[in-house]
Amino acid sequence: MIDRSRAGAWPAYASFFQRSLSSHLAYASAVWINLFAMAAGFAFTLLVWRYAQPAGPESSRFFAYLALAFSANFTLSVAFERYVGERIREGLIATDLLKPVDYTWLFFWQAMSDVAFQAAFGLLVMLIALAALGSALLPASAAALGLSLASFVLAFLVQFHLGFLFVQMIFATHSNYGPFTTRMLLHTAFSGIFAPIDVYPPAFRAVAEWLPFRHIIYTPCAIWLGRIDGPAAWQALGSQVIWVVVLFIVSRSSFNLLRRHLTIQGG
Amino acid sequence: MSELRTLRHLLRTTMQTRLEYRADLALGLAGSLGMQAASLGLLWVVLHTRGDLGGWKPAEIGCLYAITSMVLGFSELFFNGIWWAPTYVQRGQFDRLLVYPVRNLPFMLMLSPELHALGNLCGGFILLILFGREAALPLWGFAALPLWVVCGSLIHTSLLVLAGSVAIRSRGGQYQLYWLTNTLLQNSRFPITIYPFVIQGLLLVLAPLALANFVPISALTGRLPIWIALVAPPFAALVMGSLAWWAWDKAFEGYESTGS
Repeated sequence: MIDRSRAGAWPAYASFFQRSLSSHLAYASAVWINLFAMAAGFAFTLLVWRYAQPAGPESSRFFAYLALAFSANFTLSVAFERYVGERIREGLIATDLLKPVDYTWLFFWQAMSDVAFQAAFGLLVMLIALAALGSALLPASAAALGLSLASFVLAFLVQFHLGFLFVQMIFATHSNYGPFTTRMLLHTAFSGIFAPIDVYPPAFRAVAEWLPFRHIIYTPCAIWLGRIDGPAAWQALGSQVIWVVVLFIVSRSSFNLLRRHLTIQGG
Repeated sequence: MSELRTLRHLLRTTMQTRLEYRADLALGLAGSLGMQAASLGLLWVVLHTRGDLGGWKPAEIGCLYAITSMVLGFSELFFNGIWWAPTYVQRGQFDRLLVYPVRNLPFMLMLSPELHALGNLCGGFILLILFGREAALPLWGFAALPLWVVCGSLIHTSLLVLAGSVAIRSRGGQYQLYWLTNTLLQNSRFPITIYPFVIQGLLLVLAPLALANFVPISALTGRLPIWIALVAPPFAALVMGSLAWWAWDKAFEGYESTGS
């Protein structure tokens, strides 16, 4: 049995984080193209809403939300389905699991390095949006700033654990498309990337409120802009914490269960 | 003829291998249907704010959604292999493909059919029947539907081949250009008259995806003469297909292996 809790593992994670971060620097041009592709998609969202949203003071608040949501979505993007899918199909997952480190933590640090790198680009987008939208994009208050920063950290944890749960589905399906599509459709519909969830039709909003996806984009962005404030903001943070704990427990237990029934392919 | 037989055999074999991953197929089918539901949900969010888009009623926009899903489904079912071009570059797998006694572009395209595409094809067709009835589309429109779906898919695939050619030429894993193409396709399902003139030009001329969804539904709802919907999509498919084939061949000039 491999001892994954040994103290020596932590320098390994730190080193892994550093190396992941430097590998991003080697592919910086890919991130620029990625940002451009995502920005093109976002531009279409803006164009649709520019047509659909009635002009007025509410309109600038609405577009401030969309800009913040885009930055948050770009920064918090983690997609390890393709990588894991290929490792499973080729049997290389066996060597990954034999490493004397915890597999979840390995992914956690990789995701951290993704987010740290993407944050620089996300901030750049924020600055451009700030120049275009002005004060509408600023935090509603000092309290909103503090609470939303805490909420962004929790948003990352929700995103990571959800992603890791969906990755585990690849162990059962042996292909990454199904899990990836399923996660993306739920994320697109219910995270609040397309519009603030408070403008959703009631039935659609009710579904979103039962799922954790809203805590990745909508909750931190809505707190930042004051769309959620006062006791409701604390309640939203509390709900985020509960989801983080639940997703952590579920993803850990299901992964332990999965490992016992894993069949290695390839070779 | 023998090349066609080879391609047919390839398609059948690769489809059989896809069927081996049954759980993924089930999840993929559910996912593609769910994606359509999610897209319609987001359209619902927009229409909740405003009753119509560019003078298009919800059922008419639903028809645009339906035909776009079918175009995507057809591409995923028959031409999906192009998504592997960047991986082939990184792993040096073109070394092998280039010596096969077949033309490499059609072979590459048919290499990896995705069966979840049936969800997009069937789901799109069902949506078209439902929304088409509501929008009072003429029945003859269903006879021309295969033409529009095939032409739309050829235009979409041609754009993906252009993206793949860039990946081969630059020896990089630029999947982002593929996603950009899909972003254009997904956003061509809104009535393009709501976009600025430049974007309308982009979707009608440079990346003429709207010729296979917006133009046909415009013709079926009396906004455009019918002949445009029957002539423009095949013409665009031919031009884009030729351009893509030329770019693909050009991309391999001076090809050097990158894999190990």
